[in-house]
Amino acid sequence: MTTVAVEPRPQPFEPRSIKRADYLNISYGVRSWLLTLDHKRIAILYLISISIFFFVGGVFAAVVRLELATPKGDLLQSDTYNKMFTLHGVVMLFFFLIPAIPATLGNFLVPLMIGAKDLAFPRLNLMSWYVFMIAGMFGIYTMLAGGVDTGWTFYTPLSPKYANSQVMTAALAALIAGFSSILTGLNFMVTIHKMRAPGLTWFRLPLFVWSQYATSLIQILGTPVLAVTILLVAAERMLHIGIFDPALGGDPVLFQHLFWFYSHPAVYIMILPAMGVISELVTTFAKKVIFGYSFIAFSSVAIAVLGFLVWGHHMFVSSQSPYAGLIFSFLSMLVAIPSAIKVFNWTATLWRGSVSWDTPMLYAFGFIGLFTIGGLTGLFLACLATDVHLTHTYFVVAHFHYIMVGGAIMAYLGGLHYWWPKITGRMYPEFWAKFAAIIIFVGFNLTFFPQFVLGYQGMPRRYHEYPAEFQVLNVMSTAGASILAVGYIIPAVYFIWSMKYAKVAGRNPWGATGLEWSTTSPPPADNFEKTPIVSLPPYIYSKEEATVVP
Amino acid sequence: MSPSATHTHDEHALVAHHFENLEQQRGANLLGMWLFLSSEVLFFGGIFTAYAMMRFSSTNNGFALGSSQLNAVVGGINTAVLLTSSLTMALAVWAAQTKHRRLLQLFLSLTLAFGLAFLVFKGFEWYHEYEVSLVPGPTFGSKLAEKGDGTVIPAETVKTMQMFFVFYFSITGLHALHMVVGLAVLAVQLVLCLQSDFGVRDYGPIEVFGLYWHFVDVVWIYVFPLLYLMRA
Repeated sequence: MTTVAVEPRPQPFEPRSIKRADYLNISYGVRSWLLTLDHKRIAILYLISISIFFFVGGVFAAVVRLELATPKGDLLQSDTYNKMFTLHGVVMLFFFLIPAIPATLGNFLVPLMIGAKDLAFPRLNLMSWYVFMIAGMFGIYTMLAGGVDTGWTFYTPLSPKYANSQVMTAALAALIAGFSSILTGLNFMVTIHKMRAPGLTWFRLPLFVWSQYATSLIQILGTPVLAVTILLVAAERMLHIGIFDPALGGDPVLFQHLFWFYSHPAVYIMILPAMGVISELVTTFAKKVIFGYSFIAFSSVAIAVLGFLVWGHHMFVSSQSPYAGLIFSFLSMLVAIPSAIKVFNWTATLWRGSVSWDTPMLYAFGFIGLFTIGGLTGLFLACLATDVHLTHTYFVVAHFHYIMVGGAIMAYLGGLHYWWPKITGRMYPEFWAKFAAIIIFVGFNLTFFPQFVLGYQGMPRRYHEYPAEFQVLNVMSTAGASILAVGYIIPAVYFIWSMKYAKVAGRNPWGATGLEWSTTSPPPADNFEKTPIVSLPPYIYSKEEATVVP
Repeated sequence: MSPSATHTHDEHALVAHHFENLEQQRGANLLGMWLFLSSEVLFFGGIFTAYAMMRFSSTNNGFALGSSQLNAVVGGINTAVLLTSSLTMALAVWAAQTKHRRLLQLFLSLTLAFGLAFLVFKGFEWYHEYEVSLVPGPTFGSKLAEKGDGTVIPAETVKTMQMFFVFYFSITGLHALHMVVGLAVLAVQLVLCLQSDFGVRDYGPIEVFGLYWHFVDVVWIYVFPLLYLMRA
């Protein structure tokens, strides 16, 4: 299969001979990028930065998996191992997953999807990228100056008192990255409220926009709590005064409460935009109106709101009161409902759809399956009794990687493939893309499924040595990780290649609905030749649907 | 909204290219500030929650004793100063909306003066607390005995008092930082008002800044009783 079958698409390919001014070729030079106010260019700046961080975080993961290939601690000292998994967590969470979909795809698409010329605050948008890069500098300094070994959670009293590594700069990196996240969320929320095209009512918004809206809510209301908590940890570490150190009369569990008040909702910052992407992919590649539009829209908001009420499930084995634990357990179960609503609605959308198997859809299928596994295993951990057995084991590691990697990254890659023609004006090579998608799916499952078993059997997380009986499953996991790494490198290569050599895409290569497909690819600097006027709900693929849907 | 229906020629120069009209631009700016302030509520909310938890879980009266060390009179005067600055800020917004340029300049200057006065009082308070060894650290409370009526405060209570002062300096410090940022923006706006018809041409920026200033004031309304008035 060397040639890619070109199926007749609704829109013919436009000849490239007519040179139009688009956002990419309207101006040239480093200055025109570093001082740009165009949301599309800022999205590209983010895309480049977070891709670099993704590969850095991936290297740390590779070192961790390499160490765990054998039961003995033969590659790393335990100290170094602690730094490796900490840096992996800090980089992947604060510098890749949290900005991944909102700051790249969201930044690019929200104004396009609502028919606006730009985000409401273009300068703030550029500033958020610079703030992010300053945070990145702190992160890189942390790595070069010896790393940090507290785990990404910075638990007290380890982080302010006992850790001898670069805790301060790592925590500051997280704090500053948080501000960038607040600015992005704020910008999106105002844009979605105030900048919608004429006729684009709330219930005509694409579901991706709804999910970005719910995400912004968490970014705005959750992140500041992390900020003030980090400031208190910093004061404690620098001035030796504080409120988290028992020796000074403080309470370390208070830190956990404040930390998870942000960091649990932060999980939804990572997964909600991913769900938005999947809603778009499923309807486009089933050529069918989404099933239960308002249920999906409101379930995003429900997840954002309920997400603020479940942080205590990270603390079942702390000194938290068992009654609080009971309530947190119950509320955590509740979050499963809106998540399940989405999964069922996506599946129902496929029913009697004309489903095509383009690469983005492969990722969407991958997401639905893996997210379901990740979500259901989350219920094991939300349940008080089972959590006592499973907490701090590889079961937890497997669970959140199914959500973060199997969910968020799958959707991110699916979305990147889906909108790549819009972003660059060119397709990606379909064969290699499918190949990579399958490699990633296989590699991912081989890496993380054994970890469920390991955790159930009692292997604790965050140790560089383990009893020999766990080796077979660990070797499987390490082998899977190397396959996964190949799967991630392939798209990096062909995406770069495609920008110059791949087939020109045209306005709407997928025959999708949605305002972003009505403009040229790549879009002009102002997005639309003239402000679009919307008269229909989204995802109308046939005349019958146009009459059935209100 | 109908594009260009509300466009007048004058307005056009004030509207950034990505907005349809001035109304949309103003609405966006105001909503942006409200959202930022809701974020700030959670920022201060985090530390207030920590304060509440530590205060109610402590087993001695260190928090109340710590509060008694503060000068509620100076704190009260400062509260009045800050509330008055909010009044002058509200008047400044009114002056901008009704295009009274002189009044706008006057009220912004007054707001700036009251804000600076607040920080000066606060600075003297902090200096005093430093002098009587109330700054948390190894020497905390070393001069407490000189001042009191001869009764010795138990070591555990001193530790809780120190906890109170960690909160006191963190909260008032963060509040003062917000004041400094506010005053810097205010100073820029004042200079622009003195030099040009900034503010009366479009009252949007003054109105948006006014929201921020009132917010900093509202935070203090919570800080003052929490720190100064819940005393032994």
